[in-house]
Amino acid sequence: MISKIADFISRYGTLLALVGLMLLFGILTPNFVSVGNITDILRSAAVICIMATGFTVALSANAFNLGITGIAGLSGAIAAGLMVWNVLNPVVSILISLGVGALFGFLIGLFVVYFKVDDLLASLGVMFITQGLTLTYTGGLNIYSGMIKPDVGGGFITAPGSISESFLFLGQGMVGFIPMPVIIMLLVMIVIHIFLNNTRWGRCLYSIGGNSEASYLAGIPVNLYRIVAHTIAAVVAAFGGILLVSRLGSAQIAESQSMLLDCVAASYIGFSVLEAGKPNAFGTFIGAVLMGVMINGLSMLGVSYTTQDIFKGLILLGALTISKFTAKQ
Amino acid sequence: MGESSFELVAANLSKTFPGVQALKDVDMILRSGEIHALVGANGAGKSTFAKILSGVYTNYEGNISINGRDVFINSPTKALEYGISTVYQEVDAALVPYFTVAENLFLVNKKDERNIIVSQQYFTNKAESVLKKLNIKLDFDINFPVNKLSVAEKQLLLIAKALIHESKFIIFDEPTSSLGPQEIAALFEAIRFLKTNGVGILYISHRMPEVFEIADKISVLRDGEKVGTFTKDEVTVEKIVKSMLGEKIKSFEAKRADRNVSERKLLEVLQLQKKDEVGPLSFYVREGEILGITGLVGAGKSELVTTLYGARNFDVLEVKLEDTKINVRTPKDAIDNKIYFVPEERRKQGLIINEDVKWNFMLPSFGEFSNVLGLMKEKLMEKVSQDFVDELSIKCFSPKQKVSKLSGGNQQKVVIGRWLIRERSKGAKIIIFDEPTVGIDVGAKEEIYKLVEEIANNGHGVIFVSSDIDEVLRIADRIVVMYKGKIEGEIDKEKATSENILTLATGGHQVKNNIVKNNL
Repeated sequence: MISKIADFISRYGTLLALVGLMLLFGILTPNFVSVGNITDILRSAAVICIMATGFTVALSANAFNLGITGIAGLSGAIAAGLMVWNVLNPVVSILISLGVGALFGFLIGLFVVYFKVDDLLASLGVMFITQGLTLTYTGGLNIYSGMIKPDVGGGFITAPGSISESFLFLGQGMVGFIPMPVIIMLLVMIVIHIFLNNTRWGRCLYSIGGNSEASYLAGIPVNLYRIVAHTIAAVVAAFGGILLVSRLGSAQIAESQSMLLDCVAASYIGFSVLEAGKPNAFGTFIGAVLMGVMINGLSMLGVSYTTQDIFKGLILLGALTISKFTAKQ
Repeated sequence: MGESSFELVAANLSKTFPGVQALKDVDMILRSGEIHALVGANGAGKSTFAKILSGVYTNYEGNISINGRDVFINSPTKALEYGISTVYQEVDAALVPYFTVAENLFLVNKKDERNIIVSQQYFTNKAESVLKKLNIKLDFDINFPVNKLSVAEKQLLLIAKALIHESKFIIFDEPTSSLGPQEIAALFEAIRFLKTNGVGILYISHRMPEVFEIADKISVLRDGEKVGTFTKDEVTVEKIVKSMLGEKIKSFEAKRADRNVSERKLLEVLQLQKKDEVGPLSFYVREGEILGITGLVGAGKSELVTTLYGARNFDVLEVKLEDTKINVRTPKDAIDNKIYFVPEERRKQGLIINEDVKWNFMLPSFGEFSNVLGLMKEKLMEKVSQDFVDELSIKCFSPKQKVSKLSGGNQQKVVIGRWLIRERSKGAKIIIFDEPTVGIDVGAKEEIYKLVEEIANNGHGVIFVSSDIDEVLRIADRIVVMYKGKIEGEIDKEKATSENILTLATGGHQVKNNIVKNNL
């Protein structure tokens, strides 16, 4: 009997916690369970969820990528800059900035594989580089339609281009009553989930994460996959950064950087969802939503913004305990 | 040193590990000024004996006395107090890598010399004065950090350290396993210097040339029991090897199936070398043949096969498969050439331990079991997995059971099974087994042997690596024996006996009339 309860908790514990929190907030605050509020929560969770999904891809191969939010910030700024200052078409701008993101993911992979730098440290280095590049590129200014910046020869110039409506639709549009970013988040989550769980490449990434030496001896090109994992992580995160620009209507230089630890937490909370015991896209989604629900509910209850991190920490610890519990069984 | 003599008497020394009697009623007398070699095959109890004397294993049975006084050596510190030091195979375990030589010499301070603040100069001065007093010369700067020293220099450092602690007796546990010929010569000079200064030596090794070069007395252990102690000048290599083996009958011969081995050479290793590790060497495997590769621990067997499989750096590697030269730089190259490998350590090198049987079966074949979009064919994988679970009679609830829940034998079958699955879709030419029966119970061992024989009967070439001589005699058609990284001999199964294999594996063939040929 006790073991059955333990089984149940390790399998459904995190989902139960999510439902429980929603019920609790629903009882305590009248407006919590409304379509408007739920879509708000999901909308605000979308960017973190997408960036965290990138982190999860790298983590599936046991590669810790702390560069994701720095890369996301740089890609977002470049996308906005290309549209506002270079008057480029949104699609081209997005593709170029995704390419820049990919480049930095590739760079992390290269350092890990060829110079044997630890994943965490290589990605930390790239995090600083991309944050610095973002500041250099933007001159420390937020980028938005019609912005003004000092000219090289003195005086000021006004941006010739603007962030187009079609670009803003990605982050602000609605399809029926569902916000566009929520649809995008679900699509990214499903695609990555299938990629990791149902394709040969995903199997290889998980195998490397489980035992890289055994994978190597079974003929899996481990080094190639390490580079690929970091690159995919960076592209997915870059996409999250671009979506953030669209949602806010401007590139705010420090915004994505502040989300790094939320992403890490969402990814690790994902371990405990449905007894996965390893990084996975669906779990990461649940992790991001769980944190979003809690932050939203607490602020509706009037709990100060300043205490939010305490609760995030508690959720992370709880989820990690559940997943260790699973591993023990 | 030297003013008082030292005599250690061990009587009825026994030590049991769960399920294994590692040492059984061993008597031994060890004296100052004498070099006493302790020899035996793998698992004979040599290291267990050494670890009791050096205070690592404390719950032993029997009695130890030093100079007539009963002692209980209950910790390494206690062993040091009684004057016993040990120079282990892994010298690094006893040293702090980024401390200097001088600092390492005084890692364990004597009680009356404990200072709160110490300076680099303090250690340097102290080291210089002590080394001078003891008349020890080190060929390297004592202000050097230890991680800049070679293994041989580290050993000399440990010897100096032992002398500083006024040790009367030093145990050397396989000290030459990673040394080159000149370094061995220097070590032996140091050991002889110790002997003339009245220090007693216990020299543990399974290399006959070294034992016959340096020892005064030779004790032989077999299966935890002492067979005898011999004076070097009155004994022969043949006698020592026989004692290591005991009166074993070739019981395995009867079980060995007579198999037809083709004359056609399937795999030819023309040249294989990695400096200071393995080779230069060459060998071949015929179609349908089981080639046994044996040798004692540290002989370079695993190094050989992992190099051949592309999993290790090499200086030279020339391989012909079916008369065509092939390049093998990574395991993937080997697999593409239909050369498959069952590694030595199942959990560390073979299995994704948190995944299920099916996943581990498919590990090298994800590409074959997915469609053009890369999506895995789950149904097909399940069916094939179930087939092979049945065929190999792997005991599990279903292919979806995690491999961590399986027994060692069944885990090994999963690793072997993955290559049989690959054989079915892509074919196979050579399958390499590295110590495939370690940690597997007797019944499962026999099943693995049958499986290996079946693979050879299907016309594939098998390389079977094992340090268990009986096992190699049981399974191999031809046996290659390694010693110090090289192939020292090749024996057909008709002529193979435990004795001629062990003679080669211990380098005994290099010792004639107690004179060592080749100067080691």
